[in-house]
Amino acid sequence: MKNIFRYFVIAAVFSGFAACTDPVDEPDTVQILLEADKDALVADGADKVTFTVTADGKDVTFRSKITVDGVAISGNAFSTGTPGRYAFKAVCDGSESNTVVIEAEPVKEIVSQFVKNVAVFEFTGAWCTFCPSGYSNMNFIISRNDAYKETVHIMAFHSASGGKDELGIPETDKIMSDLKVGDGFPSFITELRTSGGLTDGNSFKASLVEAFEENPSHCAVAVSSQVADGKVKVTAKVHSEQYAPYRIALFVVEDNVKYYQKDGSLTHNEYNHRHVVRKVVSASYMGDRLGDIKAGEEGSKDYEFAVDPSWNLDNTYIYALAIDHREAVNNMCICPVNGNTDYNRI
Amino acid sequence: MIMKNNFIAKILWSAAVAAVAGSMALSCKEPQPESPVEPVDPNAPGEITISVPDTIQIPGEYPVPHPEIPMKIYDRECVVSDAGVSVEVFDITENNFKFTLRPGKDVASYKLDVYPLANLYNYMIDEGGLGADERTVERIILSHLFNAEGNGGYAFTAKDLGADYQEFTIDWGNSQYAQLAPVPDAQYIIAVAGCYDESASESAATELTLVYVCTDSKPLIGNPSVDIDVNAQYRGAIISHTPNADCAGIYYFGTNQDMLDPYVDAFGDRMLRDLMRHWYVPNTPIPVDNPDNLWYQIGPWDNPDPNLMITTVAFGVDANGTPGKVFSRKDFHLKEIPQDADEAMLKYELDPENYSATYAEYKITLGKECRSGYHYALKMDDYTADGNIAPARYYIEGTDEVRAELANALALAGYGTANANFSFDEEKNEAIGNSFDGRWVDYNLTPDTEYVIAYCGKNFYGEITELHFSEPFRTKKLITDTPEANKSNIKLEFSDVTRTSIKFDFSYDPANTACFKFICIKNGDFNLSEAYSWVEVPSVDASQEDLWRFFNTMDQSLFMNLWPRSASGTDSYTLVGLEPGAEVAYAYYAEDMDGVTSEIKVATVTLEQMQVGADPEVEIIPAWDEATKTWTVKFNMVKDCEKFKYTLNNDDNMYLYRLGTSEMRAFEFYDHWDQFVGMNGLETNYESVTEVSEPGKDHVALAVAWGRDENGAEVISKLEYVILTKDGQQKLISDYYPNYVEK
Repeated sequence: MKNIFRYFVIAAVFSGFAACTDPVDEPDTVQILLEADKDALVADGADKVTFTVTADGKDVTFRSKITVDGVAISGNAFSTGTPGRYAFKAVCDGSESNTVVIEAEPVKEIVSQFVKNVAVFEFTGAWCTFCPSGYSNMNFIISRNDAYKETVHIMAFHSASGGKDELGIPETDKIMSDLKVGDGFPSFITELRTSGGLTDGNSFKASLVEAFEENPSHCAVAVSSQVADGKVKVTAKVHSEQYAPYRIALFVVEDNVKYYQKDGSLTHNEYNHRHVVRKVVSASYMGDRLGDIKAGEEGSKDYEFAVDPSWNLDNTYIYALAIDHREAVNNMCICPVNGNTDYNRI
Repeated sequence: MIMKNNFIAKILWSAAVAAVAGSMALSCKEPQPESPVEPVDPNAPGEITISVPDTIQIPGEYPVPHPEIPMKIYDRECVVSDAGVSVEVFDITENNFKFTLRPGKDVASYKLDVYPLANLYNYMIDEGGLGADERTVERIILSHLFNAEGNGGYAFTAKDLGADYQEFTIDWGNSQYAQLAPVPDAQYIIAVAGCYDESASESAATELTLVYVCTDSKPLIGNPSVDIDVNAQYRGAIISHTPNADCAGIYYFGTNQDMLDPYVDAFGDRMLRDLMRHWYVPNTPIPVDNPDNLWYQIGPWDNPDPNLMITTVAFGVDANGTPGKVFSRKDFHLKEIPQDADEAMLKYELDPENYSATYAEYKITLGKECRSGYHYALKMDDYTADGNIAPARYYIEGTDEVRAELANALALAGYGTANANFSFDEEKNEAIGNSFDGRWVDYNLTPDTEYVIAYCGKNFYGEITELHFSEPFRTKKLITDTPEANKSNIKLEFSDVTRTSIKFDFSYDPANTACFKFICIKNGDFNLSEAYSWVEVPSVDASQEDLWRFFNTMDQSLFMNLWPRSASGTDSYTLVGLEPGAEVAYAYYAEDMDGVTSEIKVATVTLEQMQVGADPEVEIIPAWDEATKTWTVKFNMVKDCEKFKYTLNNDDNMYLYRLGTSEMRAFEFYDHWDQFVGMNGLETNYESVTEVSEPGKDHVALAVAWGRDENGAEVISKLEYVILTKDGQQKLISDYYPNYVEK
């Protein structure tokens, strides 16, 4: 309200001056010009148009107010998730600019050229008597469906919160708390979107159906990983098929780890634990920012970390998850800790 | 509500009142109003509000109030003085009515209740209200309202109700206050007493207001009626009811005839019908779909009176709860036990050749007139372990009454022996069977203690003999320090060892063994000490001293197994539910007939390990029972199984009703069943489980097995299935879809 008042005062002053001067002379008007860097954007909430405001050739963007359909926008960039035509104007020092119309086009459904892979976080514990059955329920559904056998990947996050479990990592409880996975152990979350319990396989199966039908891939992940001198060097790349911001989450996963496991009334001393998450390499399970990646382009990040001597490197893999702007895993890649995995094209 | 146990309705009346009631009896079939009053439609309120009629004519029924029970009753609404509570009833339906209470300005609190008129009349005939003056009647009602020891009225105060106090509406049938639900075509009295104090105390009661309401009823559907059949015997009777097809529910009731008739004579069958509908809580009608609900039993009584006339009544209601017009009644008495009925003759005695320290066998002889014998071995000078029965000496030296009390208790709860040769000609009052020789074994007696067997018998008529006693006997000493002298030669071996079960095989010299005890001292990694309430459990190679200490501590524990000898000298038992690969150990000893114990021995066994492999297989073995029209289905591990999931299912979501139709394709059945059992089946690591089908329904048996490969990864078998029809056929999908190739 204060700025508007100041402009009115200024206008009044000018008016006053005008009133005081020779009424025959008209005062000079300032030419405010609004320009956009493009005349169309994709209505995906990410793509944006950037405006510039000049007054007689001078850049006055910083002290201009830009409105769309009469409503002020924040700053000088605009994005939307709603397709349609949008009319923009700028006001600077009481002078109004021309109108610029921007077309927000609907998001084109992308038919991805890459195989979609689904990441499943399994929450488990060696002390958990029901967890072997929970894993069996998931494994049954995956192994019985050809569509899932090669594309659904379980990552077992162990927790020591319920008892002794040397395979436990601290991130497990944080993930369950952050994402409100309230089903106890065993439970799951698919693509960081849909969670449920594993006393039977019904909710898990429903989450897989949802993942493939409602979250199609629009990107692919490739990983290159080398072990040398007790260190692992990893490069993770994301190829995008649409303009979108991405994060990359990196995990070390070891398969076939022998450790005890409660199973009902039994205790297996050398139980074969599958796909055990040994380390979260990225800053968090939600990954590191790669920034906006345009359609057809690539973003990447490098990592380096020490090898844990307890890992059996023959059974150890790098799991790289691409997380999009909806904070869900859109695609993923599995690479041996000493190996390369390229984009998996259809 | 338990209807089939011993039950006599408790209606108490005084003889004087009954005499008055008798003289005032009115036929229930012909209503005779005391004074000519215009008939009132019970569902058109507002016509009579302030003026108070003396009677309210119910078309075709008795007037309200009863001519011999003077009460000032308002019809559905009233405005009373400042010292009372005005009432307005509205929204009357078949099962509910609402009313608003408006206390006068002098009323700081009030007591309220709603009485079925039938129940109120019952109080009156019981407490002297029938034939009394209005003040007495009012006092009786107030005593119930202010009853502090049970079913008193409800107090409402300005403090509790706050802003609602001046005008408070109760939806009676849906309220927390209505213990009895309003029923169709029934009469109720809303009784409310204003109080000038704030705590609704009786001493502060000012004015009593009584408001009448009659619930609606839907037109009667059909003609609900109930037949009554009485099977009267010597000590009790079974009363059965057969409702006709128009009955959705029934009410029934039984009591002494001389208790029931005064009520009926005073108030009629309709009022009795309403009393029956408001007697039990909850007072919903008994549903007719379960035969177990349609009978009840009277007795057995110890001293039945064959001259006592008993009356049982019943009527039905339709689907809307509207009572039928027909009211059934039977009057009967029990059969008379002949005066010259033979007493049961019997004898219990110790078998002197077969007793030891904790074990004793009794010889039982039941005479041909003895239908059954009952006994208990009592310590001569100590109470039973539960403390419920005194030492034998108390009864031996006691009065006839004391002994009779024990005899009755034994006949009810003692150890019983039936005369298998008993037969009786009721017409001739003569036992025509034979005597019976039996035996009884007691095997948890206290060593070196004097006992006596207390016993009694029953004849055909259920008459209990006097209490008899055997010759006293003394159990032998228990000798635990000379195991080498023990003659039982007991041995425990295990056989049929599987992954989850073992069979116990005990062998011993039956002539020289009295009994034996055994208890688990090891079960894999299971913490037995915790299960045994932290008693230290000896190891499998513990000393005799440690083992005896443990046995003595656990002697009376539920975990201690105590078996008497068998004539064959062998006993077997299969224990299931054990863990694969677990080591199991049982400690045991035997007592011989001299009271000498063997040493405590330990037998161990190791359960089979799981043989898990990469080609798991489970089989389904169904067996049809033509007699019961059911399937008994065994699910067995065949090989390589760590576990399997299974189900025997007839639910709609098995889609068995679609077999052979075009609604589903053949492979869809297989895929659906596979997914179902894999995700929802019962999981087990037992080698075999058994399920039984329901008769009259098609079922499908499903199973999937889990194994592991050389890397330890899960391997899942294909689905095993078989369709089991309700007429005893086993089928496959290809039997319904010939082109389908079985997997």
